[in-house]
Amino acid sequence: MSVVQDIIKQMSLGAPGLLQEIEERAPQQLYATVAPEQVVATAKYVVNQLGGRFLITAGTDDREPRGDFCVSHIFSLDEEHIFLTLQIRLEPQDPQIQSITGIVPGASWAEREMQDLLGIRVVGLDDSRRLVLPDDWPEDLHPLRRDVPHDIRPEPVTGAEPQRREPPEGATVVAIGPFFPVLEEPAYFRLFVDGETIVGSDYRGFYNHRGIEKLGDSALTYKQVPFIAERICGICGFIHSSCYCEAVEIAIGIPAPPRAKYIRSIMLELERIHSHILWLGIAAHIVGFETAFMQSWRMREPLMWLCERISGNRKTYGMNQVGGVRRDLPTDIHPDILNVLDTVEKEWSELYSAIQDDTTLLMRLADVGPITPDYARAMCVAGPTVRGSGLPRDARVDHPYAAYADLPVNVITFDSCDVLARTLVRIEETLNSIKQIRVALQDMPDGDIMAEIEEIPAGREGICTVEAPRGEAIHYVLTGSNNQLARWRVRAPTYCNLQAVPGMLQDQNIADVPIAIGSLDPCFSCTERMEVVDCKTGSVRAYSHEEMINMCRLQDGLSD
Amino acid sequence: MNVLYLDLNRCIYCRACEVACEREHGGVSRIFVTLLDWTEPVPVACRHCEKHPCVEACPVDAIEVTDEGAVIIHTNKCISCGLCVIACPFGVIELDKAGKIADKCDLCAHRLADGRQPACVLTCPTRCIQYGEFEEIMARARAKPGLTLVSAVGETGTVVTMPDRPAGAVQKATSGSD
Amino acid sequence: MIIGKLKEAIICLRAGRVTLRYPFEPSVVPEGFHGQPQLDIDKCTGCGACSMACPARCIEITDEADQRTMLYCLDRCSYCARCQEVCPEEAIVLSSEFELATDSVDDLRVTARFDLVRCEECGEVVGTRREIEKLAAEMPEKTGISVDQISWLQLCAECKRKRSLETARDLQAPEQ
Ligand code: SF4
Ligand code: SF4
Ligand code: SF4
Ligand code: SF4
Repeated sequence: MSVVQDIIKQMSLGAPGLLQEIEERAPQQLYATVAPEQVVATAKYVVNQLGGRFLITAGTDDREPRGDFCVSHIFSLDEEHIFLTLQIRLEPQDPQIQSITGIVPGASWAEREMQDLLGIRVVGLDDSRRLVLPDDWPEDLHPLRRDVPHDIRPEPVTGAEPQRREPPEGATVVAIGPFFPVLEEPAYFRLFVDGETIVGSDYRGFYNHRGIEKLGDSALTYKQVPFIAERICGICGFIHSSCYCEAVEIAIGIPAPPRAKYIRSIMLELERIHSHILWLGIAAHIVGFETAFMQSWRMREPLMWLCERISGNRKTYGMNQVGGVRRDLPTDIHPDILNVLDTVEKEWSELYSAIQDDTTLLMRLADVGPITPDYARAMCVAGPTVRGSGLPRDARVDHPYAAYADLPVNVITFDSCDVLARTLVRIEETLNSIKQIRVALQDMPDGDIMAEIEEIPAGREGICTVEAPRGEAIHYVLTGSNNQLARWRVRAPTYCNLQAVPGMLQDQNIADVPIAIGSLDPCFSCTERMEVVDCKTGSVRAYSHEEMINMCRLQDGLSD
Repeated sequence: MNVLYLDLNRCIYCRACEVACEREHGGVSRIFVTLLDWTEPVPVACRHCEKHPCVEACPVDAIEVTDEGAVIIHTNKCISCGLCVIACPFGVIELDKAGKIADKCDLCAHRLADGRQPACVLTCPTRCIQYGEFEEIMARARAKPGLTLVSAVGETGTVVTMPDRPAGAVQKATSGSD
Repeated sequence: MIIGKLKEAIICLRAGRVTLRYPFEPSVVPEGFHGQPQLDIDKCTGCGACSMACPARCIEITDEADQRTMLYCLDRCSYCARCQEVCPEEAIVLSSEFELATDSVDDLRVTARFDLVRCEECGEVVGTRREIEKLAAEMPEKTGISVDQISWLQLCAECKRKRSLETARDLQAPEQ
């Protein structure tokens, strides 16, 4: 019996009465329909009995044509390489659902987001404040519903106050943001400190919503989405376009030709290399180690030129399309790729050996920002963050995509669970990526780079995960008619990693906050891909009078 | 060989076929109930012509003639240049501005594939649109007294019949509008 | 620690100065570079495929009276080359031009105008004159329909539906 059938049987036997239906809609992708009242029990079964790892929740406004809302909780069964989706169909009037955060604490943001954007009420959330929508967004307007146009600009509600969490008794608030220094991105942390020790924190983000999901399923066609997907992230955009394209290919059952898959893998690994190099530079910059910053960024530059030669663009390659890639990787460019890789490998190893016993650096990194394996599992963190806690989670192995089934992917883990571990994971991964590209160039098959796709039928679902430099990105697509998606759900890896920040900062020293947060390699803007929001009014309101006064008080406190 | 049959005599302008087509194809109808001289309703859909100008006009070969003789636009290949819209003699292709593709009757290929009738055929209350074996349809059309075959495009495509009428009456009816 | 610092010093010294002398020396872009799109107005038929394909919606089409205006807002361009990929006339190509800084956004806008053909019957837009001339030239040979039979190129879709039915009805040609 195949693994898939085994799971189906286990679920139907082991969870009697929980499921209404279970089917394999795409290879290795199971969809189980669950009655609304059974959602918590089923989630518990999936997590505890099947070892499911929660990935993301996708809410869908299915009122047209099915007449209901649909909630899809997507889980990964890593060992079996299966995606298991629990789908719950909800009444169109006042849809509500039980929260699964009791089972999976990391589902909190996904559920809050669904509450904001689709108006599906989640019962039992411990924190049901707004997550995505700005404080002055009107109450009953849920922008991801299909009857709300993508370019809506409602009047801001006057007098709306930011919903902040109060600090514990005796603690002082240190506000970082809403424009996060060092990383130069919009994020707003409120740290509750007692002396120099952090006793709690609060996070408000999503100041930079660009409405990308909504655009993708209302204004853009299948062939336009890859280009906007690529712009979800300014550093690892190619992973998003690959993830979207593979998800659609899975949905319609037409894979990209093998050569295209190899090209995707090569570009993805090039991206990982330059992203990790960039990250090391930033991390060094955060702790004031400018030599490593300058030298790593210098090393990165030839890679960027290489990508420009391959794709025509330095960063947003624009090479992906549903069905394959738009540009070939001709043989005459291979020696150049290998040359650049050789240089990078040599220089990277040299830099590694130069900095690895730098005591100042080690003091800044070791035992800072701890994430225990249990906490990592509970918050569903991903990428180097989870691998730095000793858990071997890597989408390239868990759910092989592109050409990874054939490449020597070495899942690198360190188990000191601190910033140092995350740093070492990235350094060694870079070297592993170089090896993978060498193998891929050698084994790359000949043939087409674009599959022949005549039609994209409506109503098909597909899930794909791609291991970004920051962790696994997840795209869920539901195809629609008229050459457009009906739903596109994107989860950037920082989405789950950021949720682990409160636990990571607890009892830490305030001076370590920048590098601890930096060690997640957070990408705030990717996380905030969702809604069309008036950013201006959003951030202006966040700087309320009271907040300003709070900041002044803080300065007084320091000068005392 | 199966063909679509339009009996232009029976349409009662209920436009149920348009609604059916719309539902089947995500909100855009590809069959048009056209009023002649303000009184005569006639459903028009792609004729799946034998000398298909649309196919010839398409610069990217997005329109294909299937083995069954249906002329089908592969939406994923279409670049929405609109040339087929101009080239089609019967005005049955329209550019879908939202989906950015050319849209026309595909004989409900997805329904035929799983053994169902095209949506308009199933819906039409007067059975003015039918789908079936060419010979059988022709036999039925010939057997009907008072009907004239106005278009049968080889052994493929669409068979269209119209009511017979005295030539004089027609002249009179059209001379006004000419 | 000391050895580490020495290694760092060697890395820095060996790297030396890496900044390029640009703009005092030209920066050469690789072959196949995606620079500013360049439109060849003589080839373009104004069909609008590029406008539909462009993910950044750079290309705006407006039909007014008997003119179609295509406005290329290249300030919004994302250099994806989709326009180049779809253009059936090969009229738009991405050049190697990348020095686009300017103090006037108009420098990044290109306007092309085309004669429009409107429906003989109702005045609805049919297409540009170039598109229709192109079709009229190709059609007879490709389809085998003779030139004088091709009478519908100047009609909009709705009027074509009516006209074709009326013609059929008026012919009343018995089948045999
Ligand atoms: S679209 Fe027009 S030209 Fe093409 S087959 Fe149908 S009726 Fe004929
Ligand atoms: S609109 Fe699409 S189907 Fe029609 S001619 Fe252009 S590319 Fe071909
Ligand atoms: S696709 Fe080509 S021919 Fe058509 S309007 Fe654009 S540039 Fe002109
Ligand atoms: S290169 Fe891309 S973004 Fe620029 S005009 Fe062409 S299609 Fe639009």
